[in-house]
Amino acid sequence: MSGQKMRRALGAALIWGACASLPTSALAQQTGGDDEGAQKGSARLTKAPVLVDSTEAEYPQEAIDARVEGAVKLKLTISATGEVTQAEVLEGPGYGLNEAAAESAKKFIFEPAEINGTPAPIFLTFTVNFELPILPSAFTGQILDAGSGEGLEGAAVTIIFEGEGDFETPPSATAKTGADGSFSFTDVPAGIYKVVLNLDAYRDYETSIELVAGETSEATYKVDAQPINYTGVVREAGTRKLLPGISVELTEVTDSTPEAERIFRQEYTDAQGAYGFRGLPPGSYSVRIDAQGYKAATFVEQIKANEKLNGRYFVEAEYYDEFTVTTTARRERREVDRQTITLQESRRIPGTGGDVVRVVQNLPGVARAPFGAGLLVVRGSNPQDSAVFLEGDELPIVYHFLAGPAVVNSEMIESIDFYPGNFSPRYGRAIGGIINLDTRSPRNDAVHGFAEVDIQDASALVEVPLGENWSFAVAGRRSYVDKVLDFVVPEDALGAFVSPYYYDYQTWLTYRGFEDHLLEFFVYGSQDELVVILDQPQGDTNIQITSINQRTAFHRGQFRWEWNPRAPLSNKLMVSGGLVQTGLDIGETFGFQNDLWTINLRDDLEIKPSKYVTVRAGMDAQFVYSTYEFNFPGFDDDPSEGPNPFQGGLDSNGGLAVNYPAVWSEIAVRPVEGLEVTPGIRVDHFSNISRTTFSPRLSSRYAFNKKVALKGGIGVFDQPPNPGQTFEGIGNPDLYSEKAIHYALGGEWRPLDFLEFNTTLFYRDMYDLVASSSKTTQDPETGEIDFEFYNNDGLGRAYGAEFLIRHYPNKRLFGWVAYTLSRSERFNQELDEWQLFGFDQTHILTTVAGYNLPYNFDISARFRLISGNPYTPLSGAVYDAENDNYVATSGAPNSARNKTFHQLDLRLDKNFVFNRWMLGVYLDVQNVYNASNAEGQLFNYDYTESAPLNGLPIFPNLGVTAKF
Amino acid sequence: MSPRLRPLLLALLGALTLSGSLSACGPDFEPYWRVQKLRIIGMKASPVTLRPGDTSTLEVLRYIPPGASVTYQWDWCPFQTGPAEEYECPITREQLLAQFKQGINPEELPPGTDVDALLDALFPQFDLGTNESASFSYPGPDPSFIRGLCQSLQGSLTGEDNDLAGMVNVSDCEDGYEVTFRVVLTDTNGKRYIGGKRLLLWTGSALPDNINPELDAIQIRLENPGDFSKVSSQLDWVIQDSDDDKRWYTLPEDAPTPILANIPYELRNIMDPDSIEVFQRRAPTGAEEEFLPPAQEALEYRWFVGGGDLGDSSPLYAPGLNELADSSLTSFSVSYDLDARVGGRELEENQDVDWDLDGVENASDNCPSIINPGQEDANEDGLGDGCTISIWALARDGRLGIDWLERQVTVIDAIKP
Repeated sequence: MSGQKMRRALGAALIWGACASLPTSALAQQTGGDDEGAQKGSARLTKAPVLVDSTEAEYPQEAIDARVEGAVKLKLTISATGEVTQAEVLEGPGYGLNEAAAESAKKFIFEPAEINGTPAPIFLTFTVNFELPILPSAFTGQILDAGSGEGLEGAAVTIIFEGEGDFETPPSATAKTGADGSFSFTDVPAGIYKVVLNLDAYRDYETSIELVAGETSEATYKVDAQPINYTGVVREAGTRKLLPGISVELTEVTDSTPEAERIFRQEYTDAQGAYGFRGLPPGSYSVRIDAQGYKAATFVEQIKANEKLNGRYFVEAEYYDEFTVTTTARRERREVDRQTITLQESRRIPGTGGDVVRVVQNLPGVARAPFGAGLLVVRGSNPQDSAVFLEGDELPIVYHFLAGPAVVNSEMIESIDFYPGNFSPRYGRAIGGIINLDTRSPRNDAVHGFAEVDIQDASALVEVPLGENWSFAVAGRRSYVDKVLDFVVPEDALGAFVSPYYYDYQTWLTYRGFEDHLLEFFVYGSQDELVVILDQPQGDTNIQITSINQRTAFHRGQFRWEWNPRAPLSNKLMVSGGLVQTGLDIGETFGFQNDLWTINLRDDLEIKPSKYVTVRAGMDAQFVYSTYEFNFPGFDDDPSEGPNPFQGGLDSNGGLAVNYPAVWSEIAVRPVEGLEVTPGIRVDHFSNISRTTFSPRLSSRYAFNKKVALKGGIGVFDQPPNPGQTFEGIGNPDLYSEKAIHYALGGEWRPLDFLEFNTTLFYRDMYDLVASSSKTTQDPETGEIDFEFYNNDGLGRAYGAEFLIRHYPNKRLFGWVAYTLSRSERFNQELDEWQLFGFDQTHILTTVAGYNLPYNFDISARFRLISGNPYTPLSGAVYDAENDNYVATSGAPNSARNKTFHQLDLRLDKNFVFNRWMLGVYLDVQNVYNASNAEGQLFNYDYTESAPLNGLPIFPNLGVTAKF
Repeated sequence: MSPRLRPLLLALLGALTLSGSLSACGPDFEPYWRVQKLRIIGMKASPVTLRPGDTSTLEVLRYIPPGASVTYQWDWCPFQTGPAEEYECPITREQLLAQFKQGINPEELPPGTDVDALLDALFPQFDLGTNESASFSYPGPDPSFIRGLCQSLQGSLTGEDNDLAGMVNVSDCEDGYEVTFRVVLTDTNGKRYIGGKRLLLWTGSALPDNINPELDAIQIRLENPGDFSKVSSQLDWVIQDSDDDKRWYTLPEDAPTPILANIPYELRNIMDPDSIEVFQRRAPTGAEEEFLPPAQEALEYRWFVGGGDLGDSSPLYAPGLNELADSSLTSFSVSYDLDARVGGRELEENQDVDWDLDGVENASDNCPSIINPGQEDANEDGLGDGCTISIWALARDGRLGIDWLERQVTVIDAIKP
């Protein structure tokens, strides 16, 4: 390689990537003579040889590779004509340099030397210097945070040449650090450089380094962070939810700097919603916070020297769904029919008062309950045939009286599952339908609260995180009907002092400290009490009433342990215990008190040994100790209603232990893709009637694809008689359980993720129903008459078709259209014929829709068009001189029907979003166009005139909620 | 729960619910206590407990509007029958006799008993005649037959799941045996008005017989003593006294008592205290003792009026809880609120001279405050028939005993509202 070539190559190499170019002085191989030898002639040298033509020596590759430089001392023999005839190496570094030097020297041409004036051959000592070209050096390194040792991204590393040279400005280059803080410069001319580090939020740093040609220098610099002088969190306004991944942009506000040069910084909030800017120069900044789903917000902040600014920002969501804490994941379906409603839907359905349980009344298969009561008439079954569970724990009381709200606060409910029939053997002791409420755990991100006030009651909820693993919540509600009555009703207007009130409370505590385990402690209860004190005794000759006291209460503790190991196994244990009290005292002589001490125990185990099989099994035991006290005087009754066993009254008390243990299992088998067949069995024991029942159930589901599925089921369901019906002396201990067989067949189509069509055909055969009996037996010896009271002769049946189009919450809209065509009948033993069930409603059409409007308005509506309930027409009346009243003579039972029910309910919610809390105001108007809907018939005293008993007229309710 | 109690409780609860109070704005039916059409108001058997040889008089208190007429049909039935079946005896006498004849073993009867004659005496004709009142005699010669009837019915009906079981006493047959009588009033259009009641046949109980309560009088006074000056010029019966108890005036039996409209009065009845018995109630099932301690009867009162308004129409005398003297107290008024009467029509010019707007001016109206354009006056006393209002007081002891009184008042004028 020649020196020129090397130079060119070097020059080419100087084009350093994108970094910079460094004008380099050309430093190449130099050759030169050394006249030392020439001055050593034996004769007098009159003219020294002069090199006139030289050839550069080839730099041998070997020497280049070894980076050997040095001088080769040659002894040249120069002829009298100036040619080099011999080149002898005197000394040299080797590596082929000696030979190369000699070789090239032989081609040198000299002006011959003259000895004593005559050209003559001569020896000359000649030194050939080999110098390698200056090779580029490289510089890599890493910038670390001095505190944390983490690499710093985006730092600017500038190197400035400090070597000698004729520069106007010394050459320099800048590189930015990568994600791990590393930077690199390559092909930099060797030399001494100044290194300058610049990084926002870090102190500037300056040092120097000498780069050696051909070598890569490495350096690690630790730089000190500048203190954060602007920090804060971003939260959702109103809910105070910390928002992660939100962009926080700062732009300097100044007129003195051109726009492009103004300081611009951007950070994203971390998982805790926090951001921080380090070392912002003092000045005025515009802060812009922007994220998907939120309204962008801009603030202006002043950064002052040596002061740390704390910027807590709240951004308003584009719209607020009530409590979006609900899970939106589509849950695996295995039941033939299950509808899940989340809180965000249920809170806003008009006419339900935000009560999640009442929402179920709007689903297919559920008859309309009169007067907005909470009765659940599911697929033609009696209201008491359906059960409501809270996390598998059966609720003894679901509603407060006076058509009041549910006894558990809706705020603590996460979702509600409704099974109109053919439910899993996990549930039993019910032949109607099942509602299961799932609670949510208290939020542990911050303290939260909720308060609601409406015309009837006020409720509040507070959630408190306790350290990392615990969270706690407490909720309560109390009615103030009593206070309102005091205020509104003049003292003597009623001739009575009336004080109705109810309250309920829930506290729960969650522990997540154990991996794979969740522990929940839940204490809840409610009380309803009505006290009436009359000025004048009322009643009749048997009972004189001066006061009425009616009360219902329960208090219960629940412990739940959920274990979800990382295995195809999970287990859930629930234990609850408490007291349920009901009582009624009318005056001195009429009293009833029933105390139930209950322990409920439930364990659900699920094992998934393979993808083809899931085994579920569990136990579900209820232990009840009941004490009762009846005390009522004799009274006259209509003999045509059968014998009156208590003509002389009743004075009875006692205690009774009732144990309802049950075990169940089901195996879901998936033999082929899409098909799941789940046979199951439940074994119940009812100790009060000494019966054990076996209820086999089968459900199956075939999914053609993700969108279309067929489903079907058949099963036996049974429930024990009401304990009171089996008490010796007032009931029949020989009763057995009431039974039903559910048949269902249906299909689902979910063309879109949020849109579902669902239809079910059902038939329900109910038998062994408890019916009251007027049968008596006479003891042959004492002659005493024994009453049967009840028997199992009742029969019922119900059948129909249900249709549901459901739009799950999506793009501001949710709603459904539910239509049920059905018929429910009971067998009348006396007339030996089927007659309509009292809640039979041929057509039930319910439409519910809610929409999030701009400006935090939400509107929702419900429209119902439902066949009227059947009633028994009256054919006349007869005067009962004993009781001084008229008794109607009835026509064919349930042979007439009330007019078709239709009603529109609207609800408008407006949320005022403040940074730390939200104020909600709602107007819920039931029966918007004031339809007159007959709920029954009113008659004059002798039944010669009648008028429809109308349900609720237009009824606005205004409520205020606050939550933080 | 007692039939009277149930509606009370429902009404109480209903009044408390908002929905209840809103939907309580129902139709304006005529109240039970305002008697303006043909109806039965009460039935009575005197005596109400029959011993062998006794005969009871069966009466019906009814209101028959002017111009209407009715026929009567009285029946009895040897069982407890109920209003839902129109007090119809579930079995005819002939069927009953045949049944019993079949079931009787003549050898168990005293020798020489004429079975036919005995059954005939035990079950006299069910038809008790068509007079305004009827009479009923103790059937059979001896309480043991009735007791035996009671027991055999109890036995024969057991095991049957039928309604007949409800028609027999279930308490001890020693306490007596209840039978039912009924009256059917038929008006000229053939419409029937049915009422039923029971009486007790003595079966040898050692307890004293129940007797009907006795109402002695109905009394009236001004509700507000301060109204005295407004009415004293027209109502000479009104008494002014600082002692409220001395202001009561007993309504005479034979002539209507004049009153003025738009003045509130109070009514009470006077019971014969001796007719309120002390008795022993059988203790409730399950109680340790057989009888409750002796206690005075409670009384249910009923007030009915042919017009005007009543306060509490069904007060109660509950011994120990209130005093007998004023236990039946109720308010009564005949009000002519012209605004209400014209029902929202614009007040007519001549309302000052014709309060009831019946077209006959006050000066010549024989009943100026009650609409009676025809000015009917059957007894020609110058007061229109329509101005006379009947007041009925009834009292029941809850043990089949009942009594009633009827009195009249006449609205002679009105205090201008």
